[in-house]
Amino acid sequence: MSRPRSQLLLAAWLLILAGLAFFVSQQLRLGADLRLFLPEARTPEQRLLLEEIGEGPASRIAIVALTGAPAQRLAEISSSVASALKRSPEFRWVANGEAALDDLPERLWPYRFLLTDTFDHRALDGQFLRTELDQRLQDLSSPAASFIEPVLARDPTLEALKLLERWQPAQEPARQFDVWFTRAGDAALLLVETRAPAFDPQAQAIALNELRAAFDHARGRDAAKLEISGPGAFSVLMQNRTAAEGQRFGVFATIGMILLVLLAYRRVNAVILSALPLASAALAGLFAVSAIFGTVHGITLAFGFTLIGVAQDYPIHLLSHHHAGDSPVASARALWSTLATGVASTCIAYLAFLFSGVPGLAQLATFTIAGLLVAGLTTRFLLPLLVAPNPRDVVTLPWVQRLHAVFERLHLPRGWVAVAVGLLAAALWFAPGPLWQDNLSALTPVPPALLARDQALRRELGTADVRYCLAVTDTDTQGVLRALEALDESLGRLRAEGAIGAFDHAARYLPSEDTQRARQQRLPPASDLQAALTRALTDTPFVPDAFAPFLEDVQQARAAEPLTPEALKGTPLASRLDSLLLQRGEHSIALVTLARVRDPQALLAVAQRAGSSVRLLDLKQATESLVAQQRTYILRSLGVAAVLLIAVVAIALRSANRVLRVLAPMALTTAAIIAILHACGVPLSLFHLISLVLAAGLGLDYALFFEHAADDPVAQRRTLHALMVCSVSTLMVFALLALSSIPVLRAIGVTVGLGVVSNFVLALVITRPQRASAVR
Amino acid sequence: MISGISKTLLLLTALLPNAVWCATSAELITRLAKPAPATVEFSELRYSPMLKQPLRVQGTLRYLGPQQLEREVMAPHRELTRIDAHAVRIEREGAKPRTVALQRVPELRVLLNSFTALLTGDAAALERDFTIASAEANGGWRITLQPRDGRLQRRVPELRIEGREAQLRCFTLLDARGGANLMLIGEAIQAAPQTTERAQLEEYCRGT
Repeated sequence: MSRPRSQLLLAAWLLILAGLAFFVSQQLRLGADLRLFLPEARTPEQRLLLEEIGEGPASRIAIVALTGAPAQRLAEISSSVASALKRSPEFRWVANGEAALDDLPERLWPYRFLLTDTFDHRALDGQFLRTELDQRLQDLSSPAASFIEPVLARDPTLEALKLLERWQPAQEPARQFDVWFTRAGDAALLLVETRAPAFDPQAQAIALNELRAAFDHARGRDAAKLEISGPGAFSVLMQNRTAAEGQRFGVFATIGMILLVLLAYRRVNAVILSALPLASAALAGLFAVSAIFGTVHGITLAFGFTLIGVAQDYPIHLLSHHHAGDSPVASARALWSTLATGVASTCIAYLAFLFSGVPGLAQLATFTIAGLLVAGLTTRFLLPLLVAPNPRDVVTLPWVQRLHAVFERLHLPRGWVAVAVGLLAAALWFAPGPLWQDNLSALTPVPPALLARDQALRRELGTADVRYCLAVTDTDTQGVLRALEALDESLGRLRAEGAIGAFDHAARYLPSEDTQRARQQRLPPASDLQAALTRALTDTPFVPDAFAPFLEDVQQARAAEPLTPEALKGTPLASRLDSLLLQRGEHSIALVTLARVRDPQALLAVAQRAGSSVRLLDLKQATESLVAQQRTYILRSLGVAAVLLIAVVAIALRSANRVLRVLAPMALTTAAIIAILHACGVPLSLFHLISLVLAAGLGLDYALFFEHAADDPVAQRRTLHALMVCSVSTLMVFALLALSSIPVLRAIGVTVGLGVVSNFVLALVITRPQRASAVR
Repeated sequence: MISGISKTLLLLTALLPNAVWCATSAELITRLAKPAPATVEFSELRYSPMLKQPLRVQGTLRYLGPQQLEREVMAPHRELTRIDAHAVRIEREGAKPRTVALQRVPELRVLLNSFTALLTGDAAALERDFTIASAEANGGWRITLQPRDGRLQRRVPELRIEGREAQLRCFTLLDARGGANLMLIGEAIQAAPQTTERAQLEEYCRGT
């Protein structure tokens, strides 16, 4: 192709890529819900976990600690942050210890007699009133008078205040200036519950930003500091950290790649040419996924970009094999059967993921198949038109000749291979420790210092356990409220025995209609109450009719329709109930959050005694079982993929011996990596599996090209050059990742790095025709 | 220090049209200053529309230093209240101590601030929080403080500090509901008419 025309083509190609990039950036909606990568729920626990409660209300709760200013200032900031967040839609519930009377709106005041349990065991009679009134007289002559007097006429027994105090967390944290503080008094504490679940880092980030803005506004020019601790905050932190580190390694890897390609081909345009198929692959993959699925999961992107890394090798093969006296197009045509076998077998193998039953994996398969197809086709049909003819033939490079000579002398040390295989098998069999990683969070571990701080803060506030909670199911809200009331006594006993530290449930805020009706029954009729009050007021300095509003409230409470969750809409109480009472179509679910669970067995016994509607949820166990299930799905898909791959390679090569030689390196490598990781005590995770797939893909290509070169020494040298560039560049990228401090990145780096070395060596000694050594 | 503030205040207020008034107030306030700790007996009467007759408590008021006040009730029941810059802590016989943040009882914060300002002679501090008016006649004097903060003003429309010559006699807090806290201080407890009648006691405090 003439130079101007090739430049025109390059321009057109870049233009199409730019257009695609624009389209994708318009279309692309990045999802972050981890559930996309989890299989369908099977057990009731899993269903509750996945469909109903996200990760449980406890995991949505973040602890906010304010430090670095005098206590009084911290208390003021705490107040103002709390009131700002109470108005925000991102937060379901905010508490900082202030029992503001506004939490019980004016219209709900008469209902305090239906919500309080004060009169469950004692009557609202003259004697009770007299005791209370005597107390109020002392209050009136104390400095608290101005605080109490405004509500006195309406609420001489201070029932509203008692309720508000009761609604505070069961284990009252330390207080200063009316807000929660650490016992040491160095930090003001708030509890916030986000609307977003913990595993949605994007939505979490929005909520956290709002929290930070509220804090900055409240802080003004003070030096106060903000700490946010909790599963959601950690997921945001770790996502940012992973992204930052990934990006940093990406930059190093790119620089390394450019240098390597320059070194290998001594031509600047080789850099551009080698990058074009990969860029096309990435954009095509994104395009395909966003066109078919709408959103692209963040993990799909991360895994997808890892998997299409194979495409980086395609142009390198072309560049290495192209030599003077042969047009680039002819070179590409000569390579095509091998390249096509690699692309086709890999793509067909990925089809297995499309039907894995895990939506995230289907996305991943779509991304990879589209990407690899485009990379293969562009390398075959477009790239040759851009390659400048008559380059330096790599065969003439002295290092290639020397290396080839060295490799020529290599032969397969069968004894050593047997020993190695034996050792690996032993490692796989005898090494202690779990083979699989079930704990999702182990992959992005939160720094221990932060975890310890979180634990300490949780102890200060006595917040709910992230692992255990009770779920009560019934056909309607009243049913679950009644069940909660029935459960309350046994839970109280568990708390007294020390099996649990505290518990919280919806009926503590809103009793069932039955209970409210029973309380109405116990309230005295107007005439009786008037008489009792008159008796109580004898010989007191109170004006006889001072408490008319109180009498009115009691009568209103007696006649009122019981309070329902609907009637609470828009009140601070409703937001508290929202996270404890869930309405799911046909049924209602109430959650009992628990703190400091010391004896799960006792808890289980209580749940079982309460009947089938009460269930103890072990969220940790449910998550782990889901992860295990997910792995089964993936392994099954991998099995199918392996069968498909063998079939495609067999059809392409049509010789059992060739098929064996081509597939042996990748099969042995996969087994070797698993054995090595296991021997080193590394449990395998999803990330390892994906990396194994990439390593296998690379191994297949290495073997195919070595096999293709057959016993032609010149072709062998070109292949050697190409595969050296491929493997060194891939090894460089993944060795960098292996240095990462983040286990996910390290898992990918170590796995692929090992895979590259092992595949290259094995392909060299197993796949490459052994004529030289056979002659020897 | 204290006189320095007063002088600055005098200079500043000299520029204002009501300079004479303020100068008098500042003078009065400076005159009342007492070194900490200071202890006075008090007898407090609580008038409220909810009460047929006022509640009376007697005890000691101790000023322990800026923003630190202790109020000990001896009769008719025993109660100890500590007020500092942040919170009020009330300990009562046979009951759990109760702590209330000062920000929730702004009346108390005002009381504390005004007390501190009075006892340190810090006219500037008073001027910051209140509109000050004062009147003097026949050796009797009265300082009237009205909170500048609107919300507070709705709850505590006025504070009165009254006395004769160098002696503080009464400290009165009016509330928005028509009630009042009238505190007789030191010698005034004995000197005042032995009645709980609000009008009579107010008249005594006015010194007329």
